[in-house]
Amino acid sequence: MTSPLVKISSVNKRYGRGALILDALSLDVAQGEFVSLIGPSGCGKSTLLKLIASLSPVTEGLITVDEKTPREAREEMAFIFQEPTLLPWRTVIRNVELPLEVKGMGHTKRAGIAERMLKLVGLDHAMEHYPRQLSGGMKMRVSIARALTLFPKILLLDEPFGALDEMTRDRLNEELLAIRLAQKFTAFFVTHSVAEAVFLSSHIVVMSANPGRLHKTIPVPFPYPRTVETRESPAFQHCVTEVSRVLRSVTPQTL
Amino acid sequence: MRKNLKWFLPVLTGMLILAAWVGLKAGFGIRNFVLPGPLTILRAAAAERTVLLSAAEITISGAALGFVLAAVIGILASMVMGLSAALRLSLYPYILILQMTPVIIFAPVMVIWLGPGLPTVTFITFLICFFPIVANTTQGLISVDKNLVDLFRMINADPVQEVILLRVPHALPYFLTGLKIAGSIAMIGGITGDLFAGNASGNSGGLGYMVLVYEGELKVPELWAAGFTACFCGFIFVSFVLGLNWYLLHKWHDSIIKSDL
Amino acid sequence: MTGIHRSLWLLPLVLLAPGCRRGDSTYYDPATGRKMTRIVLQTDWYAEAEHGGFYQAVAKGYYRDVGLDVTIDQGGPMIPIGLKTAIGVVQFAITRADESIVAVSRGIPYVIVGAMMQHDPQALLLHESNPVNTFRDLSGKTVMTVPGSKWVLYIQKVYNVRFSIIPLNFGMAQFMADPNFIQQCFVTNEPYYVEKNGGHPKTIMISSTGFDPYRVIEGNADFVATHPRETRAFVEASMRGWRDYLYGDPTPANREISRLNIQMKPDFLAYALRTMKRYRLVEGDPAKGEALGLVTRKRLQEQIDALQTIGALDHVVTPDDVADFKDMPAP
Repeated sequence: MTSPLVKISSVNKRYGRGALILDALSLDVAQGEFVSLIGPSGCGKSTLLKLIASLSPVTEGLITVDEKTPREAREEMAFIFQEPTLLPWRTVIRNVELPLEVKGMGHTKRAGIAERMLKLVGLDHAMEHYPRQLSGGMKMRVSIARALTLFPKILLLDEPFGALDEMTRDRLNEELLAIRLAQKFTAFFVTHSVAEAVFLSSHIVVMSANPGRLHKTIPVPFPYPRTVETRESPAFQHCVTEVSRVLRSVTPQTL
Repeated sequence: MRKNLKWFLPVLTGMLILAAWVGLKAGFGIRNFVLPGPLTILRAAAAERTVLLSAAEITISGAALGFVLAAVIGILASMVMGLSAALRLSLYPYILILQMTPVIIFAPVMVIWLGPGLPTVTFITFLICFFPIVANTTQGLISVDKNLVDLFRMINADPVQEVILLRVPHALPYFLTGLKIAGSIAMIGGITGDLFAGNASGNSGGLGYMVLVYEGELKVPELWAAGFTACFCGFIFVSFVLGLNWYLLHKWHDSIIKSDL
Repeated sequence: MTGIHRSLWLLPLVLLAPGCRRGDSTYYDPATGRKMTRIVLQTDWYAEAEHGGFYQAVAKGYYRDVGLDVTIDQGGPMIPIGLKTAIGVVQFAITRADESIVAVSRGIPYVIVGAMMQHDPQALLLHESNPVNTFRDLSGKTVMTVPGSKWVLYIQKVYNVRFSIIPLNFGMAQFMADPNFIQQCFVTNEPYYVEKNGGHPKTIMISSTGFDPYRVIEGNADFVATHPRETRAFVEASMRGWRDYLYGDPTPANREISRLNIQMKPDFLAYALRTMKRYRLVEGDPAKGEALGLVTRKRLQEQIDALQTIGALDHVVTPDDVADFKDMPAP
């Protein structure tokens, strides 16, 4: 059994002297897994993502990414935010190039990679457009293309499709899986949608809140590649119901 | 029809204002040295046109110099304060104090230090234009969306890259807003400067100087003509900034989308 | 600033003036049963010794004796004196003859009713060390004076003397800081302060250029036309006040002046009065046919001619256009 790609060991997280956000959280994630984090508001799932990304420091405990600290492993990770976070003053292709430009890659080389990534998300026709000319779904795709230019081993996604309509969301879910087939990244995915989690993930981690704890890890038994048909299958619905039950059990009943 | 409305409405309002003006004057029998009529002002402007033109030139040069200086030093000051929280906290209150102190308190002192004429007019305009530029640009540099900052951290951008690739372009619309404000008040700086620093010889000087001359002689139509000239010069500044704004932002910024009207 | 602010006065004045004349109304004095006419005199600055005669006349009741209830409105850097007189918010004002003449030539309804000073106290203030000694030496220098001053145009035209101008701001800071600074002043006023602060001033009288206007009492033309008796009475009482201020005991006036203007210390008021007498500004030189309050056609014509020379007049005017001789008191 190879060592896990991401190892989270007894992590506590506190902001200053504030309340405990994460309490003794431990999780091992092997390479190639697609892990969704779901849980009620305040369970710290986005915070956990930031800790893995090294955007926020751990208070107690340890996180290793590919046997390095998160900070050292930054180059192997890419983060996709809730908002597309595109630079409005750059064209689409110049946005996608950004990580390569920062690394110091030459102009032609990075343009080539950026174009390839845009093709992957089906937006090469919009290369010279500006972000304000794009729809929400298109902007998200650009954000994903940008994340992929560094060929990350780990993709961290923080509710990326939350603001989009259901049709677009479903489409983007399918596209994400297709890209994963090609690029083979390990993914951490925060979402509020159980159906989305079930469709995308190999494992679903349900967290409880106040403080954030790992409640249960649920493996998702459907094989990849998953398609529209997968969504319609009764086994899928059954899994969704099960996971929802678990989620409900950790969600406080009072409003 | 809608497109024409954009022109029609302001023109109509202008004509109504003119009508009210002339009507008021006739109705109350207001004399020219109290409220001159529009034609009288035009005639006075025509008669004084060489004087007003050279006065405008004088004032504009001082105002333009001060405006440009405010932009350049404003950018530098904003960079300093935008990038160092410590310096920002230290310096900002004093810049605020500079802004709040009425210029007329500085002006006589400036004439002693810098000498009369162009240097003082430039400095007074600088004082007036500096704050809007600095305040807005600094805001632009520090108000970057946290996610964008995190993005730059994730891609391991060094601090210089963050400034050049993220903060500076982000601050550009803010800077232009500050520039717009400064452009609309640059002439006020120039004219205020004229009032204290002269910039004049014999009987002519900048527009501010001419205001004093006309005012002293109760040449009210000429006074209004000078006022409108100053206003027109102000428009020159504003147009320049609006043009710059369009040129730099029209491709990507929301402020330059066509309205529905 | 000043100009634009003064123009802003237009609006309220335009709207309020017709209804709200403080002067030009009458009432019956319960004590004497006498009909009193309210009059407002607008001076050209804060209360000072150069207005002494008027304050004396008020303090000693000379105006009341002739049925006039006179209020003195102080002037100042922001006060639209010309406008107030032209509209009729005040009935009389102090000004220089050349300003009055130019205004009349442009159709503004003023009329000169008497002279307050036979000679203008305006001068140029310099440090003793300044090599400039006469107005001809001003060529190429920088002078702080009132923008549009006629004397500047006059010496430019007549003597070809040109120099740069900084608008007068009525402060002394620049003068004290710069030994070469030249500033317009009243000969009765600023030199005192310079000496008090350890400086050594000297002056060049502007009248030495030949541009030597009266300091006059001008009246709102409509008021003067409809109130000849009151006008004559006002001028006469004012002259009485002046005579008393110059040759009698100036204390009543000075007390009032100090009360209104804290800068006017007794020391300074005495200096100003002394200087006025020394230069014979108010009563002039009898040998030249000058007298307190006297306005002559000859001298007015000289002024008109001087103004014509510099092209300051819109229309040619005669002394009778500009002054109301028939209502002037006999000298």
